[in-house]
Amino acid sequence: MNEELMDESRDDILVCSRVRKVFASEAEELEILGGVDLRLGRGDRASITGPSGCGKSTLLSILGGLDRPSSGEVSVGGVDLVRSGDDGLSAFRASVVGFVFQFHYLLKDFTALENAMLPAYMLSGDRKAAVAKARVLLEAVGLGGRLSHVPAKLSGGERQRVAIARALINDPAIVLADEPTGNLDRASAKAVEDLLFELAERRGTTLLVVTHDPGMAERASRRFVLRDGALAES
Amino acid sequence: MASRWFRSGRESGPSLAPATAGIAVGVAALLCVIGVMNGFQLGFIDAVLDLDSYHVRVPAGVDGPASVSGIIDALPGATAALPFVDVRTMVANKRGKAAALRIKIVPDDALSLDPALAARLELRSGEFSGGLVVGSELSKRLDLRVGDVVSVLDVSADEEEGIDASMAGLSVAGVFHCGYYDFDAALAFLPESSAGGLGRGEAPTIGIKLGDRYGDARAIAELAEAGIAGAESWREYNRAFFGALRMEKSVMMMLVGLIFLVVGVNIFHSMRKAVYGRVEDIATMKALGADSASVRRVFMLDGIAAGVGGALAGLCAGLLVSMNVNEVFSAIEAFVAFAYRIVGAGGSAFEIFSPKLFYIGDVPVRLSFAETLFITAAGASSAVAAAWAASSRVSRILPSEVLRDE
Repeated sequence: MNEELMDESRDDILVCSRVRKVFASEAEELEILGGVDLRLGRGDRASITGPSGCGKSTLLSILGGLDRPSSGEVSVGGVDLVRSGDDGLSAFRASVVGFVFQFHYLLKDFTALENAMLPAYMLSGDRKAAVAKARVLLEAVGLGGRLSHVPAKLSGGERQRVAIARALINDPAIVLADEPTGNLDRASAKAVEDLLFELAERRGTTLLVVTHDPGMAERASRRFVLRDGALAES
Repeated sequence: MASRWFRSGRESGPSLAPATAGIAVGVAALLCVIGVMNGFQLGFIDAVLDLDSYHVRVPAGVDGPASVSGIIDALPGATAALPFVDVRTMVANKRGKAAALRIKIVPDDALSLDPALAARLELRSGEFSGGLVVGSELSKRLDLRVGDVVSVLDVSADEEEGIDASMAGLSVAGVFHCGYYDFDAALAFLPESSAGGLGRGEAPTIGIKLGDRYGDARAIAELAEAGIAGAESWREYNRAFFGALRMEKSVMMMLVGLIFLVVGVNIFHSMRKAVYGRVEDIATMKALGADSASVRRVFMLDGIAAGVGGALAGLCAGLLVSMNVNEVFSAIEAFVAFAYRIVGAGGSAFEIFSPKLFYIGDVPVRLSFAETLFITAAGASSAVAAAWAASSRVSRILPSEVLRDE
């Protein structure tokens, strides 16, 4: 790892340096990210905007350990994501990062409580503790009365709130949200946005949101724009 | 939660119930087939060894103290030792109807010397002394009864005078039945006091029976230690016959075992469909931090449940049918007879194994613990192996691709 990444004096939770991502096919090589640099400190609330297809979700996948960069360095929560093995990345995703996707991706056969508790249960194996934490979080997102509802019985906004509770249950150092309100109506989107930012602020969690919504992007304390494979802070 | 997940998946996805039933049927069928085959084979082997072959044979009087008492002293595991002479000949009744026959000339007190022989021979008439004791089928074919006199071809060979053939008259002293056609039709016993000159010049052999017939190698070593050479095991002089039986059993096991292959392929396809149907769930769980192995374990649980459940059900069904196979056949016969009566076609005498055709009364069944365990384990492991192979796809699912595509 290079010296810049090793510098811990700045208390950065996320450091990525010269990250490139190239999708290669037989016909061509497509460079999506062309040397992205990004640093986020503890408690930062950041947004990334940019045109469709510019690589925002790809960057978020790399920062969340779901994908690997073609080159460059990525460290999140002190974990070197480039050199970690598959099991290391699984452990990283379980304990360091929380995801909120555009689509809720709740398991349709499980209740809201079971969906929210799943990451904690997978991490600790302590079902009772996981249930207790999930119950508190679901009450915090306003779903205390809907613990036993399966996703099909919840509205779009409620499902996304369950997804937020699930993302926060292991007290991650950073929450990565990819268009978290993209599938919601205006009222639900506002409620989810408020919830996401308020919970992140209250818990001191770093938040990185990828969004097309200018209002949501403006709400972040640090705002980035991804264009032509390069990230610039505005 | 894992079991909840795959149970709910079963409701909407491909069911493993047919595959589980297939394993159960395969295990049950294989147990029944092997049980009946063992019953016939081992029954026949037992009869061959008890009546004719013995477990170990030693040429009498060659290279040392090969006497009955010497052998009993040398072999703690021996249950009987019987000297005998085998004479291959022809026998004819008084009307000139002839048949090939092997006469085993034994001591007069053979039945007390060899309790297993006594147990195997069911004397239907007469007694085991004073003349020839023929099998029930030979008695039927030549119309022989106790007291009848038969002509036996007595052939002897001499280096100087060549072959000498003459006819000897022997009276029939008894008729035995052992249940195996070859013996009932072509084997006779003759107490040596009634043998006259028959078999003169033939070197006698001492047949030894052991408490454990598989202790033959140790027995031969013990005989050699006691200075008794030339001993032969039942496995050597019946090698071709027993080899054929073993081959028959292996091929049967292989053929019926193909059921497990078919079931395994079925489970593999069902499981792959289940994996494809749950790609999104799997990607989500991996995104939340589950590693491939732990997600794969969920599918393995499904395969183990199908395999072990099916194998245990098949084990129970197979043992139940095997242990009551004659009752099952009787029930089938009764059902067929009933069906014939319903359609007015008669047929009340329908028998699956008619004694007229198959020369058997009851169907024998023998299952060994090792074979039962092997068949059950093979059934269970076919499902587990199929689940393992199908679930390998889990580790190739990339959350970033699946969740991005949505």
